[in-house]
Amino acid sequence: MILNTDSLFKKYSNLIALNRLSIEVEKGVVYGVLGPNGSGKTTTLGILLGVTNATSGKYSWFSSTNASSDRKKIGALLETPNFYPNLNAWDNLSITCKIKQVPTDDIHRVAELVGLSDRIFDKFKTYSLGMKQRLAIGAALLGKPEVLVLDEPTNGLDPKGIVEIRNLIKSISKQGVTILLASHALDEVEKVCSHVCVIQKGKKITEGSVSELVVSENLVELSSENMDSLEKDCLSFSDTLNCKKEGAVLVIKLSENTKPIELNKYLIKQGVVVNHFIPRKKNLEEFFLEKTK
Amino acid sequence: MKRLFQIELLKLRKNRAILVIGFLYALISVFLVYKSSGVKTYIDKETLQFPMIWLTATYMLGFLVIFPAIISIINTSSEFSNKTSRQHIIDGMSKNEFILSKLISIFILSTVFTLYLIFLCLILGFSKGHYNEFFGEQFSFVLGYFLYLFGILTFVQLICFLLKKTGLSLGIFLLYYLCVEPILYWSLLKEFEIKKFLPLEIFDNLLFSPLKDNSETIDKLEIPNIVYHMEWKNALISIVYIILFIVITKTIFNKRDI
Repeated sequence: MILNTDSLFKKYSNLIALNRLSIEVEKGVVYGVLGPNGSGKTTTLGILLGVTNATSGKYSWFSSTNASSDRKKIGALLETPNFYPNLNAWDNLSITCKIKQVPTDDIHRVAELVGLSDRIFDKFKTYSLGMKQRLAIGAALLGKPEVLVLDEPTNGLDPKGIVEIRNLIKSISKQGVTILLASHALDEVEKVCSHVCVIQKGKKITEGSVSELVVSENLVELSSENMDSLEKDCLSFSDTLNCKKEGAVLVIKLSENTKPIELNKYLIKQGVVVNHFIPRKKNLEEFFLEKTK
Repeated sequence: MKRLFQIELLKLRKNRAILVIGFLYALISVFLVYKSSGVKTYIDKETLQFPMIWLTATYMLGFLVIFPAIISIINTSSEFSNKTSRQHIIDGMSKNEFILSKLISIFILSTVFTLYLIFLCLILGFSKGHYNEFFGEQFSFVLGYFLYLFGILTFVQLICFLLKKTGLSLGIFLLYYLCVEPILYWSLLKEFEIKKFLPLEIFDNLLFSPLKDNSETIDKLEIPNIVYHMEWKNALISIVYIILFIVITKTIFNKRDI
């Protein structure tokens, strides 16, 4: 067990930011904390990283209790990148190295990894937002931490930057690093995470593996030149549960263990040709809106 | 401990604003100490001669405490405005280690300013030539000066941890240093014992004015009170105040979300 929390509770003067949150994170997973803005994601991570004091409740990293030295094994990026603007990236990272008690040689490796090698001796204040974010991720990777905690890691980045960061997260996760990621971006969680916990107003709404939560319904989108006969043909397929029109496409709900290819084979046998055929998972967005209603 | 020391040294060394203020200080301090030359003390010793120079210089440079104070405010408040205090904790410092690292930074500052004072005294003192005694009991004021700096800087730290903002911390410190405490001091004139325990007054007592015994207001009969060494009682009280300020800072910082 990498992390477990026991009824974390945080109350600000007149607002309950976190309401008895208990989660468990296993080794090696990419765990997403998903919730709208102000749902308590950053508060949760802040508590887990020692900067916010919980009103009540407990948590433990690596099943131990010594919070501050545990954090040396955790790489974290909370909200914005925090560095000394007047120092260059090298000096900034060497401060992080000293805090984490990691040899400064590691700076080369992470600078390479986040693509900042050629700007490493430039002052932090001359960096663009994307570079600052990358430097912060680099700082989090110093000393090869066992766990990476990322709070909205792609916030404010351009599409190219977002893809880069996501690929970086995936490749780090493949090396066996456990990742805890907070995000309000549903597609991000869907693309990156293996497990997800949905929170709203500080309360856990649901928790589980992304594939479990997302594949709860088995849908296929279809269209052809003659929609009416297509609908008739689909309904005649034995594993079709129901069928409804959504704009220009037909959405077929198949029984749980039916693969989309079986529907396609059946249609071909019937002599039906389609110009649109997309197996659709009920995505997190729908799921999320449904759960947080 | 060593790594905290290295971290703080790096932060201080590479801050241009701090270097500029340090440079200004170096200029002004020479003039200030040099200007006190020629003032005759009661027992007719030259102020810039060894060992009287230790007393004179520590007292004169005591007026410039505002320089290390500003440096310390810039250094500490920036930890909050850049949110690096938060980042340090996230990266694995404990809150107590962070406070310790800031104490190390004011220790470094106090040491550097004290070493500079010794250096300045050596140059000015030797340029005056002939002396009977080199260190003398007056040299204890150098230790007093170090405590004076360290004490006032712990007070400054407390303000920074409390207010977190550079401008505000600086303003409040100046207000207290230049207005609040002097007014309190004079208004408490009658309750003599109480006013002696105002924080900055406590640290002020570690230094001694070479001009005091020259003052016309002092009756010659009172003069045997004058001592030419730092009073250990004052050093002890100062240390108590320093511990008190550190404990308050620690309590504030530990209670707060960063």
